[in-house]
Amino acid sequence: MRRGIIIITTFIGGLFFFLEFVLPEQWFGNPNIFSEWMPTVNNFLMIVGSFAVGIGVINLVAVHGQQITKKGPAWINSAGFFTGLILMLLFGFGQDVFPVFKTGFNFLFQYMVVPLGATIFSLLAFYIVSAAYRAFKIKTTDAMLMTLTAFIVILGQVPFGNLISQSWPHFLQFPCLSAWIMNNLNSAASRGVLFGSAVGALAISLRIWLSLEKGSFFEKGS
Amino acid sequence: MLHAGLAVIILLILLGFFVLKNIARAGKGHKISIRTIPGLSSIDEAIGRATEMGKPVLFCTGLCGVDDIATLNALSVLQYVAKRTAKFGTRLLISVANPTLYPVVEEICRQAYATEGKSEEFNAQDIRFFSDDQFAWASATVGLMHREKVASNFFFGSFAAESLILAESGQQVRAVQIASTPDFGQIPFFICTCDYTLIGEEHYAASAYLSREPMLLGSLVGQDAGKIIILVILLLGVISVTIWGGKGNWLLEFLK
Repeated sequence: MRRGIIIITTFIGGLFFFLEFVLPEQWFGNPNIFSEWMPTVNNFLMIVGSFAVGIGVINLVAVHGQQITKKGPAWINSAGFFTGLILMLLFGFGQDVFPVFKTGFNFLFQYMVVPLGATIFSLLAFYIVSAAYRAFKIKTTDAMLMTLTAFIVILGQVPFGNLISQSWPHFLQFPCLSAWIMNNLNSAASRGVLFGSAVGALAISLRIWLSLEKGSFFEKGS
Repeated sequence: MLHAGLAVIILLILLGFFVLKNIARAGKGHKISIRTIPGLSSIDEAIGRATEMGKPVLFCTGLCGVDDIATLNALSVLQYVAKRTAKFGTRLLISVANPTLYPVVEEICRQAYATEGKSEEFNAQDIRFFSDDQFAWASATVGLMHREKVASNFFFGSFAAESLILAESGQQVRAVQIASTPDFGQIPFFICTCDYTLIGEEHYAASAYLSREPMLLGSLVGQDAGKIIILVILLLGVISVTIWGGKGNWLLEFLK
């Protein structure tokens, strides 16, 4: 019964989006009826999705609540979570009633959430160096080719590369070589991967649409 | 709204036809063999390592939700991993970045544990929703890796700039790492930092490869036919542009 409902719902949902995409904008002088329904369907999906946001918060509250009540090893972090949650809720909902809360909300967002995100993002610079150190160890011919290519591309992207090669013939200058590698070798490889991915995505979409995919909801006997 | 042109409709029908035809062929018992994908073959090895070390396994489903096809495919792999960890009694931690995905992941794991007859060992609190903010989720997942000292990491789904943060942190805790994403920009980061990386279409072959269902394997053969069609179109495009040029070329106009 449950399996049947899921299969029918999936098929009808998939059919709607498929027909909306395949049928032209004007159909015998009439607008595409599926396109007209699109905003309503998107609103419906957003409403269903917003229920799940509540589930996410419930999970956070349950996990961190248990940490505090059991005085787990990282209970202080969980206390930090509740402090942040309560403050953001208070200032977020309260800013319509008390204008002063808007300053508090902006302060929390601009001076805490944004810098914290930027800090984590900035770690990437260090991680790139350590990952590159491992990747560019020349142990094989392939590794040597990759390192050489990376060397040319890096020099082509920085002013120093241009400076040392500007007196060389144009086609040997680092920016020119770098552009050739990126536009020809790299693009060819990336498009090859992209085509494979696109066909794979289409095949799996078809399998899910027709409920042929073996997944949690399509287990035998469920 | 985007609508398909005639060429796209024909291509969709052709690709769909070859996929369904090969699924039907496989359903009739036609034997299909596919090449070995080391990354997928090593999933058992990675779980086995965690079991031997008595440490948990971490599975990350990426940034996107249930509306993303790469994430849906990652859920098939998650189901396989959950069944294996349930069978071996290994703790499975799951880090979820999208609240719409959370209930689906929970249901998949619950069913996987039930299938293995280990419902009582399922712990819903090992499935963690941290945040839907990219870097908040990444930092929380990195913290989880270090605190729990995971033995194996699985990164399956759609990732962005946080891919390197996650995978490099996995290297720091000496975890065996298997990554799979169709996002071309993140593949180099995963290749540098992970033991096995699935590239492009291999990501979508995962459920067929792991389940060995003849019908799903049939669809992989159908995909290959689809790639041959695209290759033929590419060659025709190159030949036509070489002969007639780009302007007023009827083939290019038709394919647009």
